Amino acid sequence: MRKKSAAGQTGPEEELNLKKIMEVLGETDVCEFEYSKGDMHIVLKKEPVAVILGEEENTSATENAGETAPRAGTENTLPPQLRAKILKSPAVGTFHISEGDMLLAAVGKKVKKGRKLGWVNSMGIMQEIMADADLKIAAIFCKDREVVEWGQKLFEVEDENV
Amino acid sequence: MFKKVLVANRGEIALRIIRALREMSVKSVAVCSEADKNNFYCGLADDCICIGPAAAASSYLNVSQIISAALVKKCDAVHPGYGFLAENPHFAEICASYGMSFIGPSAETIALAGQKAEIIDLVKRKKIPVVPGSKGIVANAAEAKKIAAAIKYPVIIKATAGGGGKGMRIVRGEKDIEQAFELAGAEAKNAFSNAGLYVEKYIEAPRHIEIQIAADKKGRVLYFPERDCSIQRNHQKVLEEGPSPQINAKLRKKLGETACRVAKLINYTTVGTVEFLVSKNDFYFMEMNARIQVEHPVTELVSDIDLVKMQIALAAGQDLPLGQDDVKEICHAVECRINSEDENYMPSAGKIEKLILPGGPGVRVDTAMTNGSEISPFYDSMIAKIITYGRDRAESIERMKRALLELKIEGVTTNIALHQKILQDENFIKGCYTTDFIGNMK
Repeated sequence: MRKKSAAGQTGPEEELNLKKIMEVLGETDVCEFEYSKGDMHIVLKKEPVAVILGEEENTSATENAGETAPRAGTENTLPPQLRAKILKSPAVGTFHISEGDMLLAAVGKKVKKGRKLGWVNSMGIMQEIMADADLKIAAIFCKDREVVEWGQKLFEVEDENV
Repeated sequence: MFKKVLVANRGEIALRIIRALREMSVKSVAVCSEADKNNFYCGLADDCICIGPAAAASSYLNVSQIISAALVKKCDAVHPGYGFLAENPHFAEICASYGMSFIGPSAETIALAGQKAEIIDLVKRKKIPVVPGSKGIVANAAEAKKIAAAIKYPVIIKATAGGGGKGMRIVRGEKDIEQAFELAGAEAKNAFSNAGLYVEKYIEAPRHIEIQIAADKKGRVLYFPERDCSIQRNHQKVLEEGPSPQINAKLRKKLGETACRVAKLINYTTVGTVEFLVSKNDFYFMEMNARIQVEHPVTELVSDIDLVKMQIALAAGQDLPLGQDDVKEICHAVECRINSEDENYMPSAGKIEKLILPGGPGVRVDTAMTNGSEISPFYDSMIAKIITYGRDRAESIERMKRALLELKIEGVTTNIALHQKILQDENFIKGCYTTDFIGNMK
């Protein structure tokens, strides 16, 4: 998610405002913030938080992956259930699996790292569910435009690189 | 009337509101953190939605998640309960901006009631007695020292956005004021993100008396019989009773009428509480609490009026359903706050292995705890409110003693023994006590 702002105050308060912005950024799901004033242009970024891994489901897969993970590009040797992880909703809102006529995800579809699988509309703000690796979608738990709660299971995916 | 209300709180107060809504045939939507998903109250609402992880900052204080929950569940009103976002004017404003009613006073009124230095200044100008002290926020320790010299020690430094004893220091002499001012300021900033402090005369051994009020949008205000909340530890209430054994009819009327004046002065609507310090027959306005309070059941039993239902109806724009003469004292009531805490009042988290609640004549229990419930370190450690009532004070106290014997809680440390000690105390039985009661208890 990106937010742009050209607003700001001058003088010593500016530094304080930036600190406040950084604090707020740390507490929210906003992952990128651009700030422009005159010649100054600042971009604050943090790692996307839109993907929440199911802890229980992910533990065994991660542990196994850590022990036996082949290098990227090598053939998968682990069974799918050990490469599986659950992606959960980062917010209360409406789940979307399509953009216009384009379906973002379907069972069996392979998605490249960094691509969007879906999004949750929370108070008009798009909270994207991104692929944190090359993934194969094993299951989709919610329908398009379904109301979802925080932490609700959205996808089961298999990590193609594990 | 509202069709569907989002209850933006947890535990016993969420359950209390859900019960009121059901009796009013209004649908309820509970919210819960991940830690509260199996809590009793969630299952009793018509619908429930998880809004975040256990930490309150990410769930019950997360305005965007709560508003989003209310929007996707198509609620037309939000009840904030007490604590969390109940006295956050920004939250009330956001509810309104999304077309939902906030069940409480307006954002402007909440903001004014929350700025303690400002409201004290306001009521003082209307000749309502206040404890002598600073005019608004005190800029620094040097200014605090000047004020203290003028009003004479002991003084109390308080956080303007404070509550629950945080950001508060009693200072008995000039040598301590600088350090106390710095510490109170740091504590206030940490707790309320607002380091504003004010200074006032510390009234030794007063009584803490509060008046419940209800007000409609036409400007009509009612008062109810007082609650005596003098039994406190660390400035936090432990046991409340009503009516107070220490207030006569003449003073009761004066306090009630003053409370109504304060409410009118700040255009208060729905239900709220005006707090006073009372010393002999003198009283001083302390603050206005713009919410339903923990101890509201005492007043509900004493006057036989459901304050939560009244609050919801008033927020929906209904007129007050009764006049001042209709408000009666039909009994006496005592409330014990049963907390999970050790003898030093430190919260004790853990699992309630066994819970047996009291019952029988004259006993009301407000709790969302059941066998196996967890007392989470993330939230308040109150397990239950036990409220007993009787024809007179003696009967409600005897019922409380009996109820506390019936109450069994295993798995966590509780303050039941403290309550039993209070109830046996000679001064408590005589009704002669002040806010230093627990500190002086043998």
